[in-house]
Amino acid sequence: MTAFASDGGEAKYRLLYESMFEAFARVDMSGRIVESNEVFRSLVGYGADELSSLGYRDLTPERWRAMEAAIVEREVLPRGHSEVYEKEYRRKDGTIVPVELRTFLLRDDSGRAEGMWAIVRDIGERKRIEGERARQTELARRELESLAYSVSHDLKAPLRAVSGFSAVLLEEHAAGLDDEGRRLLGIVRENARRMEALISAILELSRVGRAELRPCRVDMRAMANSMYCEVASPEERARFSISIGEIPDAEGDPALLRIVWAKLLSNAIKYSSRSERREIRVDSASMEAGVRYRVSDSGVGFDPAYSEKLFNLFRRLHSAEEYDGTGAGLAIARRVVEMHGGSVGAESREGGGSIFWFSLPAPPSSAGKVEP
Amino acid sequence: MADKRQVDILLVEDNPNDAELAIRALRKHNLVNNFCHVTDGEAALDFMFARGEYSDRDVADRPRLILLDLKLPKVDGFEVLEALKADERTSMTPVVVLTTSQEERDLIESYRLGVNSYIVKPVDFDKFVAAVRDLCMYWLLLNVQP
Repeated sequence: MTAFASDGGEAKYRLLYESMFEAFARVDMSGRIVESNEVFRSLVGYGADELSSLGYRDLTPERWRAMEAAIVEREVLPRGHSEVYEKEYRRKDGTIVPVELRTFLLRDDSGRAEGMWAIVRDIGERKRIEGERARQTELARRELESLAYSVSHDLKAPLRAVSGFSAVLLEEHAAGLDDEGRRLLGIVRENARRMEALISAILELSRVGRAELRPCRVDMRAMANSMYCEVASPEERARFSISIGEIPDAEGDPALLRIVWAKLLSNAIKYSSRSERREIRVDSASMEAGVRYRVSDSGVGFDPAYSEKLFNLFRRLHSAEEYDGTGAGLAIARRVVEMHGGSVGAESREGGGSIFWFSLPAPPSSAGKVEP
Repeated sequence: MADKRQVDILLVEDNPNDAELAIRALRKHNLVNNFCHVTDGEAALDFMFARGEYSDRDVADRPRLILLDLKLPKVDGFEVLEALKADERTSMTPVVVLTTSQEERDLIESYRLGVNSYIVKPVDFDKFVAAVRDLCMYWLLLNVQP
């Protein structure tokens, strides 16, 4: 450390790193630890003598080594330092401690790299709190989902009585009722039907929300095609033209992704059913963070001012008389896509119609992986 | 309610409204001559094993079908199912679970215990009647039992 040699600089530098709250370690270019402070030694559990025969890689669990080597290669060597990054150390007693650190390059008088030092912080406590918080949130979410589920079930029994006994009344006591009486009873039954649809939608949303993701590679083109055949009746298939482009495969849970396609395609059919042109197009666009799958229709479209609200539960832009439905389909689709780390959206199409899309993160395997 | 001896269907249902609707649905198609309705799991087992209130019955006079709700007072539907399928005197009698629950674990548990069919009660009365009609047709007319 020739730079500190004059006017007691070396002593001040030692005093500085010994007085820090953070752990400090200096290594030579081979990675051997040549200097460290007390905080670092107690963090990793080794004494100064033991550390002098160890390299920083010896303290780093295998799964972090390649990542750290890449940071040294791409950040520390060309720029002189790294950004703050996270990794783990394996302590002498074998336990693992999560840390965040920043690594700096040291040069000698002639400018040649002679070593690195790292300022390291123990983030075990922070990780524990984060984990605990995530666990609590997950627990609360699941409780809410199962509450929705059991409440919906309990609502069904009285509803069955409302529907059933008004049907019995209509069938067996119709003679005792005048037209107005029969009309009113019809309204009771119709509303019982509607409430059943709403309860079923809550149940489906809750079931989807509690599902365990079982991801695998999914042929999205084949899936879109088979879901179209499932949601469109033969008459609808005869009246509609659909084109499904060369869309890429995705990484996701097939049972759940089927729901997304079913909701978007059945919406496209429903809101185009009264249009002159009945065309549905499925294609994709690659985005920075993954792939956006799009379903475009030539239907009634929607007012762009409400595009944000389309995906909210029970939010509808058309009356139930105009187009049947509960307004839960897109909320369910959104839930599934968000569970996959993606997002959803909708755009009104010029010249009528709309585009509903969902994006999924790129499968991890496609990130620059070289096949042997 | 009915002759305790020769019974086509044993209906195990605690909710009086659901029971009345089920009975109406059963009568509607004249598929069933004789049925017995009990309101908890204990009574269902007493009926099947000719115990307690039903000690004058003969265990050999088995109903041709049992319609079983899962959520029942005292002994619940799973326990009834388990007891019936575990005893060779009753294990051959088809049991159809008729419930509101679509919960996966209820389905799996029912099939694990050997249920013959699992029907989710439709809310809409027309669909409910159709479901009861179809399952009676199948189990009482179409299906061949030993």
